[in-house]
Amino acid sequence: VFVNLREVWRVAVPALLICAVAWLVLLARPGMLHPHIHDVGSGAMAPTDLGRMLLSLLPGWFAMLAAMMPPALISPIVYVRSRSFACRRQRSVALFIGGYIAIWTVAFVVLIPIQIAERSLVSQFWIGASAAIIVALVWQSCPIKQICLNRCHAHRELAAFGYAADRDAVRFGLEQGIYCAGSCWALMLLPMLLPAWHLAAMAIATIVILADRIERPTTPNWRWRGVDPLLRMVTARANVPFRNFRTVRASIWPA
Amino acid sequence: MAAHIRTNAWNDGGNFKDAKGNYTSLYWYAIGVHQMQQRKLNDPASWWFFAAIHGEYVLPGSKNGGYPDWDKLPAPPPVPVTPLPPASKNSPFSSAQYWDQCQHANWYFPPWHRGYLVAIESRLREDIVAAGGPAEWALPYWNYFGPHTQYDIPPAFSAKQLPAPPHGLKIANPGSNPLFVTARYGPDGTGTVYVPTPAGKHAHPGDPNFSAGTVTDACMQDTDYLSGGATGYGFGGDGPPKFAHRGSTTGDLENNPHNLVHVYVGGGQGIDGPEGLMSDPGIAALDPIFYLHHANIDRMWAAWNPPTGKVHPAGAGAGHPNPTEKGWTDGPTDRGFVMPWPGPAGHTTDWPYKPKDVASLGLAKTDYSYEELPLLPASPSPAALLGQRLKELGRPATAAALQEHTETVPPANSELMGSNKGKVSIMGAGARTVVTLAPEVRQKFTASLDTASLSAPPDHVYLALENIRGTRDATVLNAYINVPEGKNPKDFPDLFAGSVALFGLRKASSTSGEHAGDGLSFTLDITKIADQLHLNKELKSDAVQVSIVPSRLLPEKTDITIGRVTVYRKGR
Repeated sequence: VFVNLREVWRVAVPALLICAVAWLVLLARPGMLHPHIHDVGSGAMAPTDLGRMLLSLLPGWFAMLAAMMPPALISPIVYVRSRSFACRRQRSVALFIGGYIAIWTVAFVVLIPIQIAERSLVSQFWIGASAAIIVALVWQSCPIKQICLNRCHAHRELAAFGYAADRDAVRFGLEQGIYCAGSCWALMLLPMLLPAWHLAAMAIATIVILADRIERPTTPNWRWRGVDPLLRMVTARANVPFRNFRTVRASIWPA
Repeated sequence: MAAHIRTNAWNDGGNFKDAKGNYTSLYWYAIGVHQMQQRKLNDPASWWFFAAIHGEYVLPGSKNGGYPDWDKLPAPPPVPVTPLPPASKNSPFSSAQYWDQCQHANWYFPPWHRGYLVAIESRLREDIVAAGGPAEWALPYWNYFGPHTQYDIPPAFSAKQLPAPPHGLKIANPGSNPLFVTARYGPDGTGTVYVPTPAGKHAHPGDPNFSAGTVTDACMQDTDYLSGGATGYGFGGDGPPKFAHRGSTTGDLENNPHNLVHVYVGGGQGIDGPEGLMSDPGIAALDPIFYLHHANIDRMWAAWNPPTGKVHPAGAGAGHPNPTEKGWTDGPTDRGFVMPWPGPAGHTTDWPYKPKDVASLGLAKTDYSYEELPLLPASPSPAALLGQRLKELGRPATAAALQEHTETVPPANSELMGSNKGKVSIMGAGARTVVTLAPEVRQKFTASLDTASLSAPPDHVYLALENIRGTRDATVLNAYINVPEGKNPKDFPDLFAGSVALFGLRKASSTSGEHAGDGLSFTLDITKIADQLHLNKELKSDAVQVSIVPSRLLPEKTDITIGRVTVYRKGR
């Protein structure tokens, strides 16, 4: 309902600023993403140690989220703002983000132990890294990922008044979180399991996530989801003819 | 002079032969449709492939599990469901690249459909000429706003038999009329097909269940493509620059007449029987009347635009421009528009196009015009409309000030003003809901009226029907504001907010396949009603009654719901 470009920028600017700050933090302290090997040890870990380690990794996890996800949240936040009374906009957006972060916190509890286990149990780094790459590639191509991506485009109606408005904002955040985590979890896991080049892998994952979100909903099936949608948008706006990978390959190696 | 002239389908009485016994353009259209229908579903030159370009229920991800899947449609026409084209968009003439392209509820609605029409017209002409028809053949249009009984469907579409073809022409199914389809039920669900324009309604006074939702050409009075019309989105609708099989920024041309004509012509059998082809975008283009309806919509767009020297006499009316921003002229970046185009030696090539390639008549692929392309009557300028509104609000501007004030800037900021609570189910004779206004926003609105001037224009107010879901596309809903409890809304025309047709409801509500399931959303400008309520001191209450009345009685149980009914203000 009547969303103008100024309203989009009103959300996009802070979102991109948060993104930039998170990247600066991670560049300054790249170690915050990973459990230190000497903390992990080689045997079974006491529950208290595990809890302490999870807590110590939480800031890195949120920095990672803040670096990768804000562009994907611009559209739903614009939606929440446009469907809320002006006096409730900040509150509704905060509740929406709260619901969204709650889901990613649950994802943290699931994904970080995988990272810790890989560090402590897998002696040769390439095994974990290869597994992470294979899982990411398979998930990137599977129809379940497309179902999640399609649902990321769903915008439920939001109550406008009182408790119902708060409940719907949280529920919308939870839904967006579930489908966002459902589509992105493997891409998030990838930089966590690599032995090096974490930030480079994160940057690539961020670009892929952005391309995934830009692409319009489509029928779920097995297919490779690359960065074509993002390239297509950039080249169209820059007035450069879009050439997808297949076209480029065909021009280099004619059939 | 344009290469081809599209003529009125009602010429020669809307029949297959004129008074002298010559075959009319409708006859040759029937021959072209017949030839295209002989081809296979995966052939980009077939009737079925073209219908699926608009929308379909035949791919595994699109099927509904019952009517209106293409294998459940009553013949004629006998619709094939195999062979499917290749699925991968890297294959030629794939379903991923070609099918389900139609642009609805967004600003690409007029240009996408113009490209679609010229592509099928080109294909039909090839087939018609090959069958011995005229080389100058062009798609006829159905001007349901025309004089006499032109609100009725031309008789050629209701006849079950096609006259014998000219000597020497052999066709696969001689006799049967390719323009006749079984699933075309009309506004009353009886098979009598007419468009309820004011004249059409007048001619069918006995319809027991028709209350409102008149088809009009009021959109022609719009002065802007993007904003300010009866829907708040102008003549052609608004962005964003994304491919939108179903968006949520419907413009006036699309809402009324386009959507209304679709669901009135298609209708549904009886009260709750299956819907007609024209009622649902996934089956609409299987009905040959589809293209005549869209030729008329295209004609209205051409008449609304500035006249081009090539097709208009010099010195004709001013008209209104299309958007100039790149997002419109260059089309969406996430999926391009592409049509099959007749190539050399019977082959089919592809024609990718952008809105700017079809933005006016007389371009490379749009070298056609219309027999009737009336000049727009002078519409009052936005400044004059503002002056009139200020006068009605009791804050008239001086004549000198009005003379000086030549430009108005459309209000940019919108804000939620009120909302109902919970979903509204639409069944039987309709529903009623209360929109509670936020006192501080209502006061902001009334203050804008009380202090209005040319330099500080008063706010506009819109009723929004958000997230309408269900499976009965053949429904027109009429909205009324503050009708007294127990009274019949149709007795209060001054409180009538507008009509919306639920064309595309089923697809927009689906959560399977590629659909997000948000349903349809519409806005209606209720500024005039709000002004009157304010002047009558009836806007003091924070509750606004909204009555939603279907044009035809609905079954006592339906699955149509409106997720949220809201009021927005738009202003400074």
